[in-house]
Amino acid sequence: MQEMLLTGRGGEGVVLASQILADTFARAGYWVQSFPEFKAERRGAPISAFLRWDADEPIRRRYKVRECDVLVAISASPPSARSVAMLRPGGLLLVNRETRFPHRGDYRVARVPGSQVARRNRILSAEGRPMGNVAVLGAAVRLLLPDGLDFLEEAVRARMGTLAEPNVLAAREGYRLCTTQHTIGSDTPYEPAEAPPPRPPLPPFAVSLTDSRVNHTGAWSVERPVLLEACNVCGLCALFCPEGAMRRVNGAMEIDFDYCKGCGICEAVCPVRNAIAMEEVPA
Amino acid sequence: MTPELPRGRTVLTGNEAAAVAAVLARAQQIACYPITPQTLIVERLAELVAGRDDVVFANLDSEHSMFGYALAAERAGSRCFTATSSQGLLYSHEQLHRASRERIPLVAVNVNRSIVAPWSLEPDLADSISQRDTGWVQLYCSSGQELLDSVLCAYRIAEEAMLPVLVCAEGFLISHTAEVVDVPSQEQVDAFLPPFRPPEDWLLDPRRPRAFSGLPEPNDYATYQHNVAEAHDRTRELLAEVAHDFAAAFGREKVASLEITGDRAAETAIVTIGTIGETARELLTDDEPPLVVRVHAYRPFPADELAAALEHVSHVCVIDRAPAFGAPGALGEDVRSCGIPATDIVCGLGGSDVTPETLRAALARSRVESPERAAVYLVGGA
Repeated sequence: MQEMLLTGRGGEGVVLASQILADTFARAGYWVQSFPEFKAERRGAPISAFLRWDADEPIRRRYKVRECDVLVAISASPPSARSVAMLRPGGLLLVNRETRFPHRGDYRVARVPGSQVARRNRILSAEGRPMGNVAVLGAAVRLLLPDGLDFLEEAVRARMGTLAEPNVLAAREGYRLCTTQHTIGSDTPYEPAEAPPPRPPLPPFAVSLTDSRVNHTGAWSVERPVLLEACNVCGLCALFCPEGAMRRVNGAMEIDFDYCKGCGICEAVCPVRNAIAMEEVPA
Repeated sequence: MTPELPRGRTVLTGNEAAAVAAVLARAQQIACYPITPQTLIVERLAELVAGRDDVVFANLDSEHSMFGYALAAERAGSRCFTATSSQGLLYSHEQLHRASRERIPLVAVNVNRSIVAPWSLEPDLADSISQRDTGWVQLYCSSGQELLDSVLCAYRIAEEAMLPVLVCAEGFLISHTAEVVDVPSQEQVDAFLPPFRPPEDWLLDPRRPRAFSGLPEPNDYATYQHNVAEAHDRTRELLAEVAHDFAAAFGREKVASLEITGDRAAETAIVTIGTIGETARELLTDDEPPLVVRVHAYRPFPADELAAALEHVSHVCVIDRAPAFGAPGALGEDVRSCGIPATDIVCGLGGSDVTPETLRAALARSRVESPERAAVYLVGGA
């Protein structure tokens, strides 16, 4: 049995990718099991999915993957040290990037420019970001099931409906553009991830010990409103803002980005043309 | 356009498998209210029956109304399906009692999710285990395949026993897990499950107005309760019969009440329920492997079968995935009620992971604890 961890962010299709890959392995005759780990159900939150596959026997174990043979980073950002620490010695890391991934540890690295492939094939999220998940799967299949590209295409067609065709092209390109890095020995000393600090004792009642206002939920936002000159400070946005993050101060509107989640309701309710615009939050 | 049902060896999540089973069972009315982690069942059902004029898809305003609707629709002669989780099942509590006492052969899927407080979306069995005295037949599954198969069997059991059946599957561990599921054809299912033909006297019939569940004499009330108890007792045999018919019809084994794996001459046994029973099989390759007993039919409780399975075992460790405050865990209590001394270990609450190491720790702990102790809780990542 082989175990895989797929990481990314809510909205990037990490869970769907794990299901498509499970379907691909099943079509190739394997027994499979894939399941997500949701921490918070929101876009942009870190998300993991797991995949197990076995050529011979049904997979019976029903617990989370603790260590993996393969780590697939669907996001274009590098995987966290915690995820990498889950790779078994000699394991495989597949990253969504064009350039070499600096690594130090007993694992192999492969890379695929998944986001670029997605952008070329116009596979974009509602916000216009490239969805590189299926391109990365093309690379995963090249590495793990080299004769399985047809099965991947079938699985994509079975699960992606009207979005299938550009994704089939992305899968093929990902398969073609996958490169494995030459493994450099451990000339750089491997530094294991720092152990997390010990947890404070659990309070006797399930009530948080900190003031909820320290949770700056504005950090969740992928977009944020910008006030433009046409704003006449009518205050309608403040009335509708679900976070109470807009208010009128000294004859101008003010936005508290500590709590603004970038939902865009202010822009939607604004009665004035060119008074509010949504812009992408820089990474 | 109504999408086609998957067919044959396919990859489905547990929720999808449950939805497909409801369609294959030719449910005529589907009563819905969403709740995580069950929501995908009704979402998938909505897609699968869209545009069909032989299925009523009813969106209700709460789980309480949903069960009320389903009970009435059954009385009117429709085969019904519904599904819920956690707080939704608890909110339906009074309807659940009513269903069994009115002898409504409803089939519902409960995707197990722990109970507030504190909030959690993750699985344990507290929601349905705490409904054990509502008179429903309860079946606990350990895979998507068993969930699909059990929904099909549940209609046979419900309609022959005139009892409601709750088919339970742990959230995420089954509901959101995509795995290989063999989906039978409609023809195979039709040959196994005949159309819904409840007794005439039980049916709501506008041409024959009668009072349903009116106020009886106290002794008659007691007799009706006794009838439900007797129906449960008869269901033990029915479970075996339906499992036998299932295997003949679909060429796939079906657990009736208990799944017993390993050597019956083993010194130690683990008795558990749900997916923990699958993970426990990993102990079968240990140096001193235990006998693994997974309870599939929790109500009616398979007491005689369990006592027979454990006849040669000298040490019994029960793994409960639901808390019971001020008493042993429910499964532990049931095992002890068969006259079997057993240590009761409660673990896996709120989705805490149960691995083979957890079970080895449970076994080790059970050897040093008195079987008279109510229950031992393994918490904090044990």
